[in-house]
Amino acid sequence: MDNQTIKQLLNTGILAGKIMMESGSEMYRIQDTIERILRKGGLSQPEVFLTPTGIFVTARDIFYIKMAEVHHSAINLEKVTKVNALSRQFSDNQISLDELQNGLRDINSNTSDFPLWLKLLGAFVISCTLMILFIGKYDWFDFFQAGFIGLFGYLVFNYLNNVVEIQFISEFIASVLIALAAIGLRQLNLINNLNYLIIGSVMPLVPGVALTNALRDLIAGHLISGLARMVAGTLSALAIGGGIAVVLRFLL
Amino acid sequence: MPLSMQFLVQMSFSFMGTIGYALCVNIPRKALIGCGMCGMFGWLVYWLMWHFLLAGKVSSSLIAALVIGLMSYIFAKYKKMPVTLFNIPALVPLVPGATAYEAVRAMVSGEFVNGVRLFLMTVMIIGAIAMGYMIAQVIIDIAKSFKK
Repeated sequence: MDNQTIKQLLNTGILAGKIMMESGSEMYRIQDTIERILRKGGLSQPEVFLTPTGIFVTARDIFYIKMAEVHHSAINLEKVTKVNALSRQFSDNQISLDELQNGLRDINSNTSDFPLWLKLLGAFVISCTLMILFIGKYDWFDFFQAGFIGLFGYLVFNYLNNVVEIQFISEFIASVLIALAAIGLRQLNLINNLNYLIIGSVMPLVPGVALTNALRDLIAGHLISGLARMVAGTLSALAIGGGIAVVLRFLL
Repeated sequence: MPLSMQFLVQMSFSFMGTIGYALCVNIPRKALIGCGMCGMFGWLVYWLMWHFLLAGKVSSSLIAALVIGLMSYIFAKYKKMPVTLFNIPALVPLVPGATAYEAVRAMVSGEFVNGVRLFLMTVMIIGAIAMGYMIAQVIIDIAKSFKK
């Protein structure tokens, strides 16, 4: 096996891992995918070390080790699905290594996010439906107001997330604005119950993916990444709670 | 509100709420309906236990998370997609948002004892969800070993 092929294999494997890690996949799936690609390509004993901030890939008996830094980026589970499917095609001999590499690059740059209006619609629906489910009373007066405030909060979060480097800050600011908007509506007598409304409208911001993945990693024995993601999820939750708490403390 | 109506509202709203979250994290379009179904069944189990069996929030969450774990595995096998896709949005209705909010509220207004009680409650619910999910995983592994 010549050096060129080995380098290409390691590059391909690490590209797949990087895409999956950045899109919010769980650890065992990433490890599985990278090992499958390397084994299929001829490196029979792959060694993969994964952390949420960096990936190391090598194999026994070769002199190369490949390392990639993982940046935090938007969660996009469609990318995870596509990479997974592509690596399976590769191990079933349906595509070659070159095609796999090109396909991965294509996925990384060309996978379409849902358009913003659809995400905003999602935020609207989460806020109003979960408000009704959580409070257990059928209070229809606040239904649409909760939806609109949730939509507004998600819009702010979405904008700040692209501008500010730190995710927790954008969550904090978004939840402060949600609480402010809710208090504003109550001053105008447009809502019945402030508490219920805030509960509903922060739901689109809740770090569901981070916490679920953290639990899954911990259960699967990936302790480092489980702890790291757990801390990230807890910090997000604290930022949201803190934002609400600050506003309620000083305005109520 | 009559009981049948309540049932219908809980069902449709949990379905829609789950799909709403799925839209925010870019679930592939083919998986959306499956997501909604998982979320709906999980929430229905939770709601029925909480309202009619008078179980506590913690045990209801545990059983609901168990149901979601099993259902999302079945959907993932059926649609040939990663389990995560069905799991993540389906767990969202179970997140103890209301309890967490009440905890923050109590802390802010100086009721520390109440705040700590509610906070512990939140932590216990999250732990129960994790436990339920873990039990589902164990059941799946054991079932697989019998199949071989």
